[in-house]
Amino acid sequence: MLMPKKIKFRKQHRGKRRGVAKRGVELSFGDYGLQAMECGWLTAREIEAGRIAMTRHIKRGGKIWIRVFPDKPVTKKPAETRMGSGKGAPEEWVAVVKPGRVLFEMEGVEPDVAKEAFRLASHKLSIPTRFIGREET
Amino acid sequence: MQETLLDAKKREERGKGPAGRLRRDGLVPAVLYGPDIEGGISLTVDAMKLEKTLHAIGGSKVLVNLSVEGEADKRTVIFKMVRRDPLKGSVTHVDLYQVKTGHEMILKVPLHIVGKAQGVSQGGILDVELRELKVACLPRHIPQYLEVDVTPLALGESLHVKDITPPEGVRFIGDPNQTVVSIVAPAGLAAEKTEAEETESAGVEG
Repeated sequence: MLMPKKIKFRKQHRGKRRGVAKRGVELSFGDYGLQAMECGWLTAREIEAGRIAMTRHIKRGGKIWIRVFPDKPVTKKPAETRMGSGKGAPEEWVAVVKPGRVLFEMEGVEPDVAKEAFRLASHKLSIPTRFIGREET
Repeated sequence: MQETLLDAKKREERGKGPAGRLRRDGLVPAVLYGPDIEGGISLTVDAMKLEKTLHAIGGSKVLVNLSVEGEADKRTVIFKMVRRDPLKGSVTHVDLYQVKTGHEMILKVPLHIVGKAQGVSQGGILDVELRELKVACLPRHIPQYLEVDVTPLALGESLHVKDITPPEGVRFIGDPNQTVVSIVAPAGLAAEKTEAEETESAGVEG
């Protein structure tokens, strides 16, 4: 699963997710992509599950890019613990995603194969997404 | 060279608020600049007409005749940058660059991939690394797009900027060794090859 190699601080504030994505909103590498339509936290597990679903569907052909990286630690208090006594322990890693952000890109496959692969991947994600393609020039 | 028409009006108000109001009224804020214009001119363009013009030129670099309301002469411009809303896809802002006759200009020209590479027939993937190329040319020599023929490329081969012949009056800017297209083996094929090589070497050792 994706996670940072080294971090400066173990725990982070939750932050806000308002607004739309300003960067990473266009296809940069591939011909097709999966774009986020709402904001949310994508966990490393979701990203990995999506990647596996896509890779299995396209089999040997094609190339995949993952455009988000889970670099935010999320903490969780143990079950049945009384409130207080400080912040919980780091539990997982998430990527903060805003509407418009391109999550995955793909190249070297037919459009219908890419569409189906992204559909399978989108079922692994906790936010609504849509399929995008490069405009034919 | 194809020529297109576009109408625009001068705009006095600037900033986020007025720009938002314009967009709600079906207009798109634009800016015009170039070697003969100091500081740039703020304009508004009709969103529907702009979409039609952009659709007609389809991402190619084409000279556009811009008629600004209140001006007798038409200006020759190119679309330098088109900003779109990432969710709606509507145009939010346009940068127009006024070209000057006899003045060399630098711009990015789209690359069109032509043909089916030999390597793709062998099971490889066409990896396009460069989709636009920076060129320097006079306005009358602006190419709409540059064609890149990938037919002779086999598996593992690449095509670089230096392999493309520039059209007359056009000069490429940047690293000539930059890769434009390469035919890469899919992950499965590469793994199979490595396994086969390992088996062969093991067989020799044994």
